[in-house]
Amino acid sequence: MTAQARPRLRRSARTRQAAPIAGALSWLYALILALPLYYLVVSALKTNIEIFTRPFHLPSLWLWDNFSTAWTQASLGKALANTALICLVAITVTLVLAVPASYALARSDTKVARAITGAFSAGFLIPPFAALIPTVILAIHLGLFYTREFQMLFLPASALPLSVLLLTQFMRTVPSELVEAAAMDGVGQFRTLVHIFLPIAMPGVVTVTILQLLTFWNEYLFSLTITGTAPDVRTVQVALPTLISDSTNYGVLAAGTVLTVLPVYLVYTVMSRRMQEALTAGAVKG
Amino acid sequence: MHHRISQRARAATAAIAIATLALTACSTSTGSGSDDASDGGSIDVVTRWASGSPEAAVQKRVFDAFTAETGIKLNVTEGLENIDDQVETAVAAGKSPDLVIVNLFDKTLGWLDAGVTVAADQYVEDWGLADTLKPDALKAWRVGGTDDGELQGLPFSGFSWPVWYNTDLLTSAGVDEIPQTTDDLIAAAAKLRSAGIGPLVVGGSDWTGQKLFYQIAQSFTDAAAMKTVMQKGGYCSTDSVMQGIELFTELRDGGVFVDNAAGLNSDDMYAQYYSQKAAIMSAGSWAYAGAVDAGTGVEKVTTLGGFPLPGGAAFDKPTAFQDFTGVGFMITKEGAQPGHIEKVRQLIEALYTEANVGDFVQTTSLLPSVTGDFTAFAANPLLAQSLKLDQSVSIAVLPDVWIGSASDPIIQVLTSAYGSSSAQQICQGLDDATASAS
Repeated sequence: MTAQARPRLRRSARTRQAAPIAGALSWLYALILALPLYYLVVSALKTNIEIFTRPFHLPSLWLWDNFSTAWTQASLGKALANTALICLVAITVTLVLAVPASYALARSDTKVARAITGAFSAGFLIPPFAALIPTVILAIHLGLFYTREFQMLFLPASALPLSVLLLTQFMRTVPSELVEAAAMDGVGQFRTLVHIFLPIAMPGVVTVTILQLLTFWNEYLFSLTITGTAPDVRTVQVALPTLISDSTNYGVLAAGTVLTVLPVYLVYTVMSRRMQEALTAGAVKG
Repeated sequence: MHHRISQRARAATAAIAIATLALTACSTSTGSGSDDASDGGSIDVVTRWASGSPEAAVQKRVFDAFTAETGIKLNVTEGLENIDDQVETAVAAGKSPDLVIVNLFDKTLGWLDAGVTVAADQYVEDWGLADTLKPDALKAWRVGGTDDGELQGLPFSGFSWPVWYNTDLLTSAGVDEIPQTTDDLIAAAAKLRSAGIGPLVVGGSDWTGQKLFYQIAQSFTDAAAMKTVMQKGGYCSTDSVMQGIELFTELRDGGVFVDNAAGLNSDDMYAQYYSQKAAIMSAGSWAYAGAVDAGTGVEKVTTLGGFPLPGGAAFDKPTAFQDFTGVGFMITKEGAQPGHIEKVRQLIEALYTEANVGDFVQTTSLLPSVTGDFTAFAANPLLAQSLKLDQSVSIAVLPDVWIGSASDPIIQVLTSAYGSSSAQQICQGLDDATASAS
């Protein structure tokens, strides 16, 4: 056994000793994350009394009707369609604006580009609540108060700082040799973006899509204030609180919450592997 | 691989574009104030009775029948917890509803002054409601709660708010009579605790704790003085009110409230009482339906009464709350316009018909603000008891209208009161909260 091999062996033994602890901690962490979900799902099948007196027990009587009651009472079908429409349009607009902007910023290292990047970074400094009143006034003046269309325009505006900064980092990983080869072949800017940058930055696009989908889906303050609570335009986050009253049936409310979380959870499950790959790839490159 | 992704991305983009166009084309985005009326035209209504409330089902029946009969379409928007903010924003945006179905509380108390709504005095006369509405109900909706104040809206949903006693649990703990004095109550609480039963359950961290506190705190004070203190402060400097606050701390320290009352809310309160883990609670008529729905049979062993009195009290019978500030109809400036007011009138008249009020009484156990005998609609045994409550209780001053926007800061003060605050700390906190809100 050489002198160089000894430390590696010691590390390996230590790693073996630590493995059960790390495993146990991982399971504990997973349990802590799963517990609220379990609470939500079992509450969706219980009466109020059971929710408050036996919160973590399984239901004594499984009230599956809570789901249909929530669906009907809060008109969740229409609300889910509204939210899906708003998210779809808002994410499309976000990507249509953020991808070319990121491409331009990634390919330019001038003072102006750095200033624009800084401006996007400054977007994080504005708390949403501070923007509420000016945004309401803007919606009124545009004649888009109590409409979904304003939300479709506003959400991309709020999402651009993070989207542009993330995508710019992904696009900076494109090898310069590829870009030079394309330039020598006479490829224009648009084709360079579409055929070289976009495919390589696709994990970034997926990441941005997932992050913004989660943000848009869960947005409440502006949806309530500007889009409003009329059944034909309200989002699912605004429809859900209509199940709250002086005598709220929390089983029905929890069932409604499960129904509103489910679509975005499914989308996340489908797309999360791509996002993890993207983040891992970014870590290796970094 | 990249090529495959690119193709997939293009397909997804195309699908998104098509779906977006289709959905946008199919959708309509009407908000409040839209005018897609049928033959009878339309009016916009914002309602406090959201889908999850028991009133929503009756409201829908009434609205559907109204539209079928008159041809007037109702654009109904549900007001959430912050219905007052919702309506104010809508008015600012030029999208004012015509009618708001809402509680008289906090910001809504200022709507008449602010020009959001119009006084309803003339409509009561013109629409022949003067003899239909109970004088107490009208008084409750007048500015300042006085006979000569302007009418802020038309009262609809009143409530009684008694103390609920589970006589089975009291008997099993050796308490044979419903406590009539605060000494009786302290003794009963001790027996209940010995039997492993929770005594009086209350949501010390929310509005239920606030109301019960005021019920106890006014034990030695007449209504006029209490209203003044609630409105302007002076808790510490008013001897009779201080006596009431000290009584509250005596009851608390005597074990009358369940353990950890400061950490409970109204939902915990209902759950503990309905599941028969606690023997006493103070809750309003809106909870009668919930008691039956709980399915534990608690409504059959419950006797409604008042809160026990101390020696030297200002009341001659145990106290309960009763009022008509539950839900009423506020007509906005928009609703008062010539093109709208006639439709508003028709809707309000439909809501006040005996059959529709009876439906509300039967389904939601509300106390009607219109005259007449609704006992036939009182299918709920608790409501039947409640309609005779006047004979056995004195009515205490409900704080809502008087404390106004100090309500939330006062709840924070009282959460500590259900913990361990001294009487001096409580009165000082209430004075500070009242001053900061005025």
